[in-house]
Amino acid sequence: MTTATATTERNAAVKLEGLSKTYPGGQIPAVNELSLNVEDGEVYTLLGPSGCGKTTTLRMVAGLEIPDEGDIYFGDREVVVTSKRYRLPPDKRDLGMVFQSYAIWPHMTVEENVAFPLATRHMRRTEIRERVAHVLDLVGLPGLQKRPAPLLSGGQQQRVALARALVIEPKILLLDEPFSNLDAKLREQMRIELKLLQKRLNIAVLFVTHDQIEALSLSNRIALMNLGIMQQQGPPQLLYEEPANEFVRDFIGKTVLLRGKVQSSNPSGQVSVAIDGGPNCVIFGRSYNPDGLSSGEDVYTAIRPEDIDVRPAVGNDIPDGAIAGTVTAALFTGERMEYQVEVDGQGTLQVFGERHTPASDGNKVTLTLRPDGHSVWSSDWTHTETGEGV
Amino acid sequence: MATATQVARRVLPGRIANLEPQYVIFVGGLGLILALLVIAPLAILLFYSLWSVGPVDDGGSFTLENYRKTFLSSTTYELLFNTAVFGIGSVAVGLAFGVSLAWVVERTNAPLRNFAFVVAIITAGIPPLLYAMAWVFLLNPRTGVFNMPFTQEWGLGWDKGIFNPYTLGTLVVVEAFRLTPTIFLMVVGLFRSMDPALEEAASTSGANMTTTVRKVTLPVMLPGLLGVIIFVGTATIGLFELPAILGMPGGIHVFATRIYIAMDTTPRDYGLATSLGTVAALIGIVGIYYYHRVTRVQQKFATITGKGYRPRRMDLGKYRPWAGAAIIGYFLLMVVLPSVVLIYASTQTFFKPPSIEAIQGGSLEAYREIFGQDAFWIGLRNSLMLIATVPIATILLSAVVSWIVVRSKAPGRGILDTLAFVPFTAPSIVFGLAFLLIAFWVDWIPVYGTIWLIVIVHVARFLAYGTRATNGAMFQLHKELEEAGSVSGVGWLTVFRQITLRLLVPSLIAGWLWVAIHSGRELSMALLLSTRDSQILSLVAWGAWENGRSNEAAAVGMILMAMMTVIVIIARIVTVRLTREQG
Repeated sequence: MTTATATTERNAAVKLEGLSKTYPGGQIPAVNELSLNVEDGEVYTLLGPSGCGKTTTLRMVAGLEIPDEGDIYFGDREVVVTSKRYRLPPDKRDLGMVFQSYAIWPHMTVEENVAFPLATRHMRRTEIRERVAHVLDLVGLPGLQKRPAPLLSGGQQQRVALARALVIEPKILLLDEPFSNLDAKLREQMRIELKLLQKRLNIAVLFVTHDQIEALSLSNRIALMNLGIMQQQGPPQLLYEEPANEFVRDFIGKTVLLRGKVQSSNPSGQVSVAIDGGPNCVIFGRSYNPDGLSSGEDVYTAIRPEDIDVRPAVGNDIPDGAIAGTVTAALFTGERMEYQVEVDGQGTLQVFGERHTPASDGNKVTLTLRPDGHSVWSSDWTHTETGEGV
Repeated sequence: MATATQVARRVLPGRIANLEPQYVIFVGGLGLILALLVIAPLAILLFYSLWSVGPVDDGGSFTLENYRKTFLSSTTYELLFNTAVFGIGSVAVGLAFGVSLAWVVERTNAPLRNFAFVVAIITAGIPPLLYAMAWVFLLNPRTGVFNMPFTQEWGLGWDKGIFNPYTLGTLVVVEAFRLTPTIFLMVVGLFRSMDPALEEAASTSGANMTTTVRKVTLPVMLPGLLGVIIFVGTATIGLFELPAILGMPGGIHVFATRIYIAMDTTPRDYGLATSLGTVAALIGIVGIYYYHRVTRVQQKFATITGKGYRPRRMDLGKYRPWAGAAIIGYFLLMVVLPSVVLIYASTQTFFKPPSIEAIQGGSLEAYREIFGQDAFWIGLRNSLMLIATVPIATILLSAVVSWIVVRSKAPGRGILDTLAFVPFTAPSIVFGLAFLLIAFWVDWIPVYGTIWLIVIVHVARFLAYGTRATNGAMFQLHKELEEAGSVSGVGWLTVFRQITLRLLVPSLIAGWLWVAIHSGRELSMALLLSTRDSQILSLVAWGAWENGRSNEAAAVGMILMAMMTVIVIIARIVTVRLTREQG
C-alpha cells in the first residue's frame, strides 16, 4: 500500500490526518481517510483521474471545503481539528493559491490584483508597492503594474495569479491544475519556471494535476489517488518502477502486459517468469502479491515499452531473452516507430521501435526484453473500476 | 402597412436562391419593415410635438408652443419629480430586496432556496394592473385588510387606518415589491455567470466574507447590476398601471398617467401628450444608450471558468431558520396575500374587510354580471386573438433579425439590431400614442378601431425583448451546425428554415411565452388605441375599476390570470416534450 515516509512527525509544512469528505448526495466519499505530509521545500503532487478527490483535498487544505473527518496541521499550527470542531477560515490560513481558472479579478489592474492580499493585511502603501514590484519581477512580468486585468493573455494571467499567491511570501503554495488552460509550448516553459522559482523560494508546494508528465517532472513526491483513496505515494521513480498495484501500474506510463508462467520465486518477492511465445525467454521481476506466487502459475509481467527492443528478424532463429512476432501495423511518429505486433500466445502488443531500422506491415520482428526490473502480477485486472487499494 | 404575420409568411416559404441581389432585398426589406414599425412612430411623435394642431384638424404650422406650455407649467416639474422618485426609489428598494434574496439563494445554505425560485417566477407573471388592485384592497384606509387592526380593534374609527395606498411612498414600495422577483431572477443570472473562484481567491488571499463581498463580488457584478438597474428603471419610468391605480386618486402623476389624462379630456390635448411623450422617449434613449455601453463592458469581464458551477455556500448557522422565514414572508407578502385578496374581492359586491360573515355573504354575482356583458366577450375574443398572433409574429421576426445580426456579414446589420431595440426606449403609452397618430395620418388603411392596430403595436414593442432572447440563443448555437448544412449543398434560406429555426425551437418557445404573457396582460398601449370593438380583457378590467365596480374588475382579472396560467402550463408541457424528443 503506501510506502509512508517516516519523517519528523509534527513539523511537516502540511500534515493531513485521516481526512474524509462525502459530498451531499454522493454515493462514495470524495476523499476517504487520507493522510499525508508535505515537507518544507518539497513539491508534493496529488495525481489522479478526474473525480479522484485530489481537488477536494486541495480545497480542504485551502479551507474552501470542510472535511467530515480528520485533522489538518500547518507545521505546529492547528488548522482543522474535527474532534474539537475547530476550523480556521480560509482567510486566516496565510497560504498562496493558484486557481485553475486563475481567478484574476477583472475589475482591477495587475497591481491591484497582486496587492490585494497585502492590502487585506493592512500593510503600508510604500511597502506594498515595493513587494508587488519585486514579486512581478520574480514571475517575469516587470513593469506591468498598471495593465487592466481583462487585457492579459493566458500566460500573463497565470503569472499574475502566481504573483498574487506568492506576494505574502507564504510557507505553503497550493496549485490547482495551473497549467491546464495553457497551450503546450507555454505549459512546458511555465513548468520549468515554476520549478526554478520553487527551488529559489524553498516553499512547500501542494500541486494538483491529472497530467502525469507534469507530476513526474515537477514533484519531489507524488500521491496517486483514485476514487478518494490514496493508491501509492513516493518519489516519481518509485511509482514508475515499483507500482504498488495494478492501478498505479496502468495510470503512470505505458505498460505492455506479457503472459507467462512462474519458473521460480523467493520469499522477498523476486520471481523469474518464462514468457509465452519465446522458446527461451526468462526474465526477472518483482511480485507485490502478499501471498507469493507458486511455480507454474500463470502470471502477467508488466514491461515498460522502452524496455522492449524491436528489430527486424534475421532468419528464423529467436535469440535467448526474446520473443518473435509479425507486424500488423507500423506507424512513423517522427521520433520513433509505433508497431502493432502479433505474437503467438500473447495476442496483439503495442510496442515502439527506433526509426533507423524500421519494419513494415507483414514483417517478422524479434522483441528483445530487458532481463530484469519488471513487475509481475497474477491478473491483468485494472482497479480503475472499483478503486480499491491493495 | 403590412402586419408582421404577413411579413413572416411572405418571407419564409420563398424559394430564393443564394444570390446577392436577393439577399440585399431580403435584408433591406427587413430593415424597411423595422423602420416603419419603429422609427415612424417616434418620428411622427416628434412631428406632432412641433406642430400647432392635432392629427384630426387640418392646417397647422411649425411651433415650439407645445414645449413652452409644457415646461412653463409647474405640474410638469411635479411630474418629473414624481417620476424620478418613483423610478429611483422603487428600483433602489427593489434592488435591496432582489439582490439580498439572490445572495441568500445562491451563496448561502438557507432552506427553501428552490421554493424562492418558483415564487419569483410566479410573481413576475402577475399583471401589474392586478397587483396594483390587490394592494388597494390591502391598504385602503377604510376597508384595507392591513388597516383592520387599527380601524376595528383599536377603535380608531372606520376611516382612520394608518396605511394609505394613494401616496408616492406606497407607490414606490408596491412597485419595489413588484420589481423584486424580476431583479432577483436577473441577479441570480449574474451570480451564476461569475466564476466562483474569483470569490475563493479573495478568501485565500486573506479577505473575510464582508471584504470579499465588498471588494470582489459586488465590483465584479457591477456592470451587470448597472444593466439590471437601467433595464428595470426604464420599464418603471414608463409604467402606467401602478401610478394610474395608486397615484392618480391622490393626484400623483407620472409621465404615463399625465399623457393618459391629456388624451382622456375633451378636446384631446395632443400638444401636451406629444411633447411629454417625446421627452419621455428621450430619457429612454439616454437610458438605453448607457444600457448598451454597460452590457458591452460586461462582455469584456467574461472570464474563463475552469470547473462546473459549484460555489462555496456560506453556512448561516443559527440564522438559517431566519433566512427560511424571510423566504416564506416574501412568499406571503408578494404572492399569497395579493392573490387571496383578489379572489376574495371578486366575490364581494362591495369590498368589506374579510370576516366570517363577509365570506359567507360572498357570491359569484360579479362573474355572472361580466358574462352578461358584450364588452367582456369582445375583450376575451380580442385578447385571445392577441395571444394567437402577437407572440408568433414577434418571435419569427426576431429570429430572422437575430440571424442576420449574429450570423450574416450583411452590411448594416448593426443598424437592424439597434432598430429592433429602439421600441424599448419609450413608455408603452407613448408608443400607443404614436401609433394612434399614425392611424389618423394614414386613415386610408382601415386599421383603426380593429384589433390589428393593437397587434402591430404589440409586435413593434415586443420586438425589443424578442430580439434580445433570440440574439442570445443564436450566439449559443454553434456555427458549424449551420455550416454543415450549407456544405451539404442547400441554400441559406433552407438552412435557416430547416436547421437554425429547428434547433432554436426551445429558446423560441421561451421567448414566445414571455411575449404571450406580456401581450395578454398589456394595458397601456391599447389604452389610447382601443375602440368598443377592439376592447381587450385588461381594458375591460380597467374600465370596471374606473367605474367603481371593483368586484367585476377583480373577476375579469382572475379570468385573465387563469388564461395566463393555462398558457404557461401548455408552453411548459410542449417544451418538456420537445426537449425529451431531442434528447
